Parts: sequence; structure tokens; C-alpha cells
Amino acid sequence: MAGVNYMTMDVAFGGITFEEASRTAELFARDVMPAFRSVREAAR
Amino acid sequence: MEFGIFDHIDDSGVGAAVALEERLRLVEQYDREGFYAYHIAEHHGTPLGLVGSPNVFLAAVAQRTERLRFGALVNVLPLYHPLRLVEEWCLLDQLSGGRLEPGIGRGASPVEASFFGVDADSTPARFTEAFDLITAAFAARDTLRFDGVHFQVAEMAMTARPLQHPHPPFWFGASRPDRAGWCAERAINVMSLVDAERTRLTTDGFRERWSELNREDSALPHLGLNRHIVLADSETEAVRIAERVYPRFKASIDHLWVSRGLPRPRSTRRRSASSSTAAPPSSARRRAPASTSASRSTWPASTT
Repeated sequence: MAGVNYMTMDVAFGGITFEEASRTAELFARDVMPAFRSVREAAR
Repeated sequence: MEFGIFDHIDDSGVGAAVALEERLRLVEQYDREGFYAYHIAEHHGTPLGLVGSPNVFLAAVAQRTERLRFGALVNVLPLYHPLRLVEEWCLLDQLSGGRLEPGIGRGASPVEASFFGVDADSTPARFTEAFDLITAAFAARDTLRFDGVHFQVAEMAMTARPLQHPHPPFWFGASRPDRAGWCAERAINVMSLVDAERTRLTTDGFRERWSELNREDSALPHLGLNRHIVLADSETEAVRIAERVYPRFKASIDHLWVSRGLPRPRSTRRRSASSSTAAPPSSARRRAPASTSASRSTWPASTT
């Protein structure tokens, strides 16, 4: 929809704690990023 | 699709020393977890950014990471002598084994420019000439000469060199589409902070110019979009965290505009409109993983 090939995230902002921001990055890397890798490989 | 982190390093209330050390620990984590790059904003005289000199902070990032690429998004060109920036970028690129990706911009805030005695009306021309000088410095074989309106360099030995050739890849904040073609011609990566519909104007404009230039699709630069997100072990918890922490960021982003009685830029007004709702819309509650109210309407549907 936006036509982008790259996505960035603000995960540490406002009054968030270190642990909360770290958890966002950890869950994103563990549960979301691999799904995009498999989508890319399937498209080949 | 690659993923990166964008960071304002806004004031969280824990003090700069603690905040900066915690950021560096997070950056180490981004490095381990396979994020492509770490981008930080440059702000002055506002709780929106504790890091007025992003390149100084990035020198620490270079030493705490091994794979992660990084850069300011953006360095506000009118607030520097361009040779100072070229020298800092060369140092950061050498310190990091060639991982620097610096952003270039005119600066979004006339208030912040005024702190440096820079008239907001002059920033477009200053940006253009500064980037011309930067381009000349990276292209110079041995000696740099430059004769501009704002900058003159009689004869300078270009002893500062980047590790990446011909120079580190640049980024530009392209929330408006008017510079998309200019970026495409120079193979400059772009980042949008606005909604998907307006971002599409930039990405379409970029691709159109790229195609006109007969360049390979496989060499297309990064066309990026940023969103605030919060993930947690349950959607309820993520929404609870986002609602607790986002208002402080919102206050920081509005601070200079509100304190000067100035109208806020369109992008932050939109954030305001969506974040001022005390309870998120029910449709957002159904969406998992949860994100902040600022990004809920467009993420993750807009990523492809």
C-alpha cells in the first residue's frame, strides 16, 4: 500500500522502560521478521 | 523486506546518563537480533532529543556493535559546516568497518534552526549548497576546491576518507513527495514518517524516476516507513503500555511548537488527532500485535 521496501520502528519512546522496549524488539525479531523472510523466499 | 530501528532518544525522565547507557544496551540487542540499521534523529533545545550531536553518540554505537548499520536521520545540514560533517562521517565509517548510512536534511524545525542563528528562509539554499560541497568532497581525488555563496574552500587536502566507496549511502527524510525524483537521481535512500497514502506518493515518484533512468530494480535504494510500535505478551498489555508511554513522547514532539505558540506541522497534528483519544478504537483492539495509537491505523497493513 505504501510502496515501501523497508520498515523502521520506534520501540523506545516516551516513558517506556528499558525492559518494555527490549521486549518489543525481541518479540519483533523472533516472531515477525522470520515471517517476512519466508514470504520473500516463497516469492522467488 | 528489511527492518530497522528509528530512535529520537527523547526524554524518558530517567536522566541522560541512564537513558544513554540503556539505549546503547538496546542497540547491542538490535545488532544481535538482525535489524538492518539504527537511525537516530537530531534535535536541539527540546526534550524530543537528548542527542544534539548524533555523530558523537554514534561513535559509541560503532564500538558497541558488529553488524548493525547506523546513521543520523538526519544530520541537519544548515546547522553544520559541511566539511565538519564529512570529517565526522569519514571517522564513523572507518570506526565501524564501513557501516555508516548518514541522513541529510534541511531540518524540520525553524525554532531549532533559530537557536543557531540560521534563518529558516535560508535553509533550502544552505542545504543545497552544503550537499554540493559534500558531494565535491567525496568526489575529490586529492584536493578540494569549492566556491559557493555560503562556503568557499580554497585548497584543502582531502585526508579524511570513508571506508565505503565512493561514499557511505545517504538517507533523506521524504515525508513529502517533492524531493523523490531528486533522491532517485542520486540513489539516496528515503524515509517517510507519514501515513501510507502520502508515503505512496513519495515511493511512486521515486520508482518512476528510477525507471526513467533505466536503473535496475535490484539496485533500488531503501524506501522506508517508520511507525511507533509496542509488542508484549498479550495485546491487552501492549495497548496498556502504549497508552501509558505515548503521551510523554507526544508532549516532547509538540514542545517547541506549543511553547512558541506556533502551529504544529501537519505530520504531528495527525499524530495528535489519533493519540488524543483516551481509549483506542475497537477496531484497533482487535488488531494484533498492538501498536501505539499513532500507527495503529496503518501498521502492518502498509508494509508491502
